[in-house]
Amino acid sequence: MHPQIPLPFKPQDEYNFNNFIATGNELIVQSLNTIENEFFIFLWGASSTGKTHLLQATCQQQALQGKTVCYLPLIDLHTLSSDILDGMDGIDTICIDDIQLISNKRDWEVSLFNLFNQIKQQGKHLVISSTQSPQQLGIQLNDLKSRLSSGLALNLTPLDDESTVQVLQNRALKLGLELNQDTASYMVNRLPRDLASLWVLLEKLDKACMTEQRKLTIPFLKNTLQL
Amino acid sequence: MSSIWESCIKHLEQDIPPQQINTWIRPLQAQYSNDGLSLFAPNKFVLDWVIDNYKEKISNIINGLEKKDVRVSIAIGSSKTTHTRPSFNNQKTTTNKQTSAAFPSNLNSSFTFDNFVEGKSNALAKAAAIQVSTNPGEANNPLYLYGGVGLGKTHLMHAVGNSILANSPNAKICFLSSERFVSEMVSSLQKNKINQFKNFYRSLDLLLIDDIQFFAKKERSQEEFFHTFNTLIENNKQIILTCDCYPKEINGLEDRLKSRFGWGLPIAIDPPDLETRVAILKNKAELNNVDLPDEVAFFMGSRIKSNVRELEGALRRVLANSNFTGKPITLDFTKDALRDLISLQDKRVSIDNIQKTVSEYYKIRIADLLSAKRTRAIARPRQLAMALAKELTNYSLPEIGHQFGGKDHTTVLHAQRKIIELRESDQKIDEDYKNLLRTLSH
Repeated sequence: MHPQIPLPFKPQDEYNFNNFIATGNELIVQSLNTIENEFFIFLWGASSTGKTHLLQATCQQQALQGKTVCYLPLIDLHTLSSDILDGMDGIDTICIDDIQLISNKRDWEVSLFNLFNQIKQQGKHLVISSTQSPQQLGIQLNDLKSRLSSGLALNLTPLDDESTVQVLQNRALKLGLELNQDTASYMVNRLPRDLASLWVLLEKLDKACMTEQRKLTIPFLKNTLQL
Repeated sequence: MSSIWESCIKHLEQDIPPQQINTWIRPLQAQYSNDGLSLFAPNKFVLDWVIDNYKEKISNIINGLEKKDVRVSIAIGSSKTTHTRPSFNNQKTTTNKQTSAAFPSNLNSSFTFDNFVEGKSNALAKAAAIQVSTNPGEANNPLYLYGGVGLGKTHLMHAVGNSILANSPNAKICFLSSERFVSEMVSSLQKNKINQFKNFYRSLDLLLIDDIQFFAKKERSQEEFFHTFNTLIENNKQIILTCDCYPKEINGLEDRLKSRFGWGLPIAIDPPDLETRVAILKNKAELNNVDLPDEVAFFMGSRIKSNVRELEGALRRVLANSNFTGKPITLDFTKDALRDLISLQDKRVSIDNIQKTVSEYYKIRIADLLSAKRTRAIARPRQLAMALAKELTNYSLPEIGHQFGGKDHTTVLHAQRKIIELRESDQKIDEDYKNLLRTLSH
């Protein structure tokens, strides 16, 4: 018998505030939800703490209110010209992800400094995420560094084990994979902690389950991942 | 926003990931008319990307939705008929906080003399700014304000503009950053509008340019600004400039501009002292209808010393936490809300770093700084370093003494008092102290 070949189908990630597990980060979610009260919010935290999710959710929510928004993933853009920031001050809410990638890049720092001033002058809103706090970022342009320190800077708390299990189960559900509490807890306890690695492993398990037409159990998991 | 465009986005969402929608589609502004759908991209980068990747898809969806051929065009710009950025080529504009005036000044009406918190470090600058606002173009022209970041230069500049505008509502005032001046000049050159550009800036009553240091190395802009500057000064029109340093220290600026910038009296704004920091915090809290307890304001002011923006950021965090939890702002609550920021501040300026910076500044060895040598060439820098350690760190006098080669705490106390006394009587020492403070606070 031929093995079942899974179709290369990936669910589209949907980022909104409802599917963000906010444990420990309630103030952050609340602040982003009411962004009209703040001109500038700076989110920082280790990777896999949900920065991208929150920025995307902010875009989503503002768009629902009929606002123009722009999400700028510096991971894709920082090797390009900083001209992409030109004219952005006409947009109601701008979310810039992974700002640590442009620290110490003079052109980007100056462009962001200019954009910051324009957004403030226009009464628009800015959300920036980073792996480090504004003071630790290593921004060389003091004019920009001090501006980045002026906003509401909030530190993201990493997920606790219980919440990670929940996030993992939600993700599995989206893949159409049944992941019970015990197996999810096993994964959280035995596998790398960061969500990005867990996603990759979860997809690997999903494929294996489909190919072999098996349910995801701890023994199957151990066998598949050769633990 | 046009609802047909919203429907189109919903269709696009079915096969484009949300992240890309937020990056490339949501920034577009749409305008639907009999001529078809016009989309406006913020810049060339987004424009090209959308044309290459999505334009065809968008056209197909719109045609499908409207059940006819609809012309879809895309260009750089904004769908709003009134552009929101005042400039020489766009003179009928307003923004939300902008002062309503016959002429689009770009002034922020929330920056006034009344809400500028005065202290020792900025009193001279404020007095000069008030003088300029009562007699524009007469004395102190250009008014040149310089100092570190986040100390209130821009605030004072706007305050002068707002005050002049209140007295003469028809005054032609323009506030802009030096970067804006440069980019407007470049675009006017491209569009063959350089004469309009020149006429606009040379016909002002009051020109306010922020962060003039960004003119560095922009030779063509410097040339143009030189002529604008001369015309305005000759006609007794007031110019106010801000910069991060003294005119002669700006790298990459033509000498003739440096000398002109020094024509009026360049005035420094220094970092605020503790009392002023406390007053600023209480003032900003009051704007948010919060009465900040004195002990909290003193705690924050004594821990966050570098600039007003950082104070502002810290205050925002405390207010947001209190709003969210419904808890009153007490000292313990504040310490908890700011714990990461404060531990960072404690680490940021170390005594080692102060010793290193001071010895480099005076070109002496760190070992000498820590020795028992009492020659003046060593003792003065040592006293300065001790005074800076007291000002910038939270170490006690005995701890500072210990780190300076095991000196007694009375030695540190003497050093601190001596430096206060010398800063009053010896301008050179005062300059050195400020320079070192600026270097270490960055």
